[in-house]
Amino acid sequence: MKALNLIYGNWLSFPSAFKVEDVWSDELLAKAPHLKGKTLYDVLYRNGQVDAFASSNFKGRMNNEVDHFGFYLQKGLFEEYASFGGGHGHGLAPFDTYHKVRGLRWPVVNGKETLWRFREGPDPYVEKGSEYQFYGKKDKRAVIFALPYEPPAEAPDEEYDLWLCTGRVLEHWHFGSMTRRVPELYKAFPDAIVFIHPDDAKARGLRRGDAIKVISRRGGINSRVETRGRNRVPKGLVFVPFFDAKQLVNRLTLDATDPLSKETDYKKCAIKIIKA
Amino acid sequence: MKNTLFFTFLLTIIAGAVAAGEDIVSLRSQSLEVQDPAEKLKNYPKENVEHRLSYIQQPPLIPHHIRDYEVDRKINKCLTCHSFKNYKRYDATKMSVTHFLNQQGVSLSDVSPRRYFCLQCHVPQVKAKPLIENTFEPTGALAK
Repeated sequence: MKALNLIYGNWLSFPSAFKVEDVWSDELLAKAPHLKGKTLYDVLYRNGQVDAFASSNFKGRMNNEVDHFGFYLQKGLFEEYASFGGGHGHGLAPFDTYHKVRGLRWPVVNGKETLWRFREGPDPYVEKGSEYQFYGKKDKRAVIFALPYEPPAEAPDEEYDLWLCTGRVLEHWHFGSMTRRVPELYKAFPDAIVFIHPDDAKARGLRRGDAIKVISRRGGINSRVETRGRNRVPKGLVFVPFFDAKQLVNRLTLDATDPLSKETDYKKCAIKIIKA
Repeated sequence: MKNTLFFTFLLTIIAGAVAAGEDIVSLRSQSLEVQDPAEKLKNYPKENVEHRLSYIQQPPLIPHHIRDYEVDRKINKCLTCHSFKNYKRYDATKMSVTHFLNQQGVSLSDVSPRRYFCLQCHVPQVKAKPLIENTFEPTGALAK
């Protein structure tokens, strides 16, 4: 009952349901005996650091946490976080500064943003005479990974002679389940189409608007040819946006994963196009 | 008591969702096994004045087709009619003064680069019936 109220009220008060003894081992508690009997909420927030700023510091319109806890929680948390990085190349400006400026390039050292990192002059951490210094590592040099070339899992050949790339159009968010219901957005980009280079279309006897089948080794979809419009694709590649639930582009795409980055390989595979 | 109520509520939602699963019609409106021929390309009418604003800050829609309109670093076809200099001559809509403000809110003497590529916000509309009825109604100054 109490726990449920806490969840409805505020997740941040959840730690107040636990005492330090409930969670910490005796060994750990022996190292900080002054925390005995306190709740985790006390340790995390009522520690003189996070609750250092009174509610009156908050000048905005609405802040549930300020009302609930009686101190300016966000400012306290930010200043605590900022204190971890100060003085060694990870500095931040005071909390209130970020409400006034449009943005500051990180790190902020003595109130000044760093316009060009690792460069002598703009970056105060770079020693004089060194020009560039990647001071994050002990030897002050950058770490550059040289990775082997990874050939595509599938490339166009005699039969499947085109690259397929898929992606988004500005109007539709992901699969269009919301954006296609907005008349203005739907009418700005109604259905998925196959953007193809005019020469590629001509070589296949296709004209703009023709009904086509896009086929890969895994499946096919029905679509239409588009040789004009916003996307000018290079020869040998077609682009089909994936927002249209009637043209499921993932019937075509490849079930491959990059062995190094573990990214799914939806962006390139081999297809052929025939007249429907 | 509250706990019990909460879980009953949750269960009802889950049971309802499972039961409704079979009747849900997606925008696909066809089963996964069937693939209808693709929709025909829809046309941009030469003139299209039916569109009104839905909300005050909406970038107005383009009420004409824009085939072969070039907009790049050197040429901006839209501005040949919609610029402050030319709009009267072509009886076109004057572009908004907001387009002269830069990121810092400073007023420039010409179009701000961030507002230069018109089609990022303004688009023409094809002739098509909406997929699904939309009951949105403008309020305030745009209310019917």
